[in-house]
Amino acid sequence: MQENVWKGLAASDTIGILLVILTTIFFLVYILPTLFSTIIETLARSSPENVARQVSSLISSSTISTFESRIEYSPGKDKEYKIEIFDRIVKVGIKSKLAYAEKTESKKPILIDLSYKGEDVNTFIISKKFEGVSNYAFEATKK
Amino acid sequence: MLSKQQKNRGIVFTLTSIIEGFLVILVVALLLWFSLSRIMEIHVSVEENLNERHSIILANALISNENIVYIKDGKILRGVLDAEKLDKLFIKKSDFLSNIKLLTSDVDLGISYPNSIIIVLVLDLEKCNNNDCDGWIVRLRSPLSLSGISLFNFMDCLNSNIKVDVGTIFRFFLAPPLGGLWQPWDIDKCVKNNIPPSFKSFFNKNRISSQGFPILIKYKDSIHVGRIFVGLGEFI
Repeated sequence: MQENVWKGLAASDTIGILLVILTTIFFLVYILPTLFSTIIETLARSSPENVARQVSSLISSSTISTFESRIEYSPGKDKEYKIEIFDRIVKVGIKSKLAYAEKTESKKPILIDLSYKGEDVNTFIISKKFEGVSNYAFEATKK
Repeated sequence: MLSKQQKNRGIVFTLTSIIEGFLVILVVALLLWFSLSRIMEIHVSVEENLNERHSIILANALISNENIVYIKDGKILRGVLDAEKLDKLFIKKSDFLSNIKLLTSDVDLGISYPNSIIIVLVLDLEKCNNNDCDGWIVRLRSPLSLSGISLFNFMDCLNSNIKVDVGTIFRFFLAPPLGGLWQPWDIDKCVKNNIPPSFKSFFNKNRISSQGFPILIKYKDSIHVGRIFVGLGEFI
């Protein structure tokens, strides 16, 4: 009789441990990699390095338009950047509350002469209009 | 048959095991959160041939540039270069070898990357003799921007990534004396993001020139098929 009781207790323990092991495996195999890849992807997309590359490429690419163009680029609604354009260089820094996001600024070259300085922005707008000569305008806002 | 008391004891043991297990998971999650918020820092390094990308953008910009493109009724005909404008601004390829003007003078078309050496070659593919085609060549004016010089950016990057922590002691012995201040991946990131491919290609033999873009060349009474090439190299 006593032996049967211990058998029952051991079986219950085993079920409990198995449940925990299964949950841990699910956490390690599915949730953790998804969490990490989401964090890394979000940070990579909204990092100053990537934003500086995108903004510099978009400004440079706006020269390709032959009549009129307007390019709007928004790397993330919940992000805030500071941007400076001078000497055909775009400098981008991020104001991030995330401890694990790097805080370095990034500088990338552009094709045309522009001048701009802005802080706490997350949307970048590049416009071009050709009226005998090409005219470019850049503005950055918070949306 | 087990008594009711004994059955309950089994259930209590199962619940205890589950709660203990979940506590372990909670501790792991807390450690993960601590690592994310206090220790870990995610760095972004981009691997691309920036010179290739820049030369493609510049070639695209040039075939839309009003200074060299044919304009009809106030409209830019993209991809159709005006031979008369090219004659005025560029050097004839046939004169190039006997003229060192290319090395000493440059042309400002209002578009070019700073701190770069940019050579533009336009070939008329309908004026060829023994695979040697006639055309135009020019060096584009590239403004000097001190803050844009890659070496300064590289130093800035290293400066902003200096780490002084417990690991410094180990890194100091592995890579003395300055190597101790940076994690190896910080240095790798600064090289990837800031050193131009034209410099790196000295070491890894990367190709840095574009294959060129197809264009048309508008003469006074005819249109020829041609190709535009942009060679670009950033200063270190």
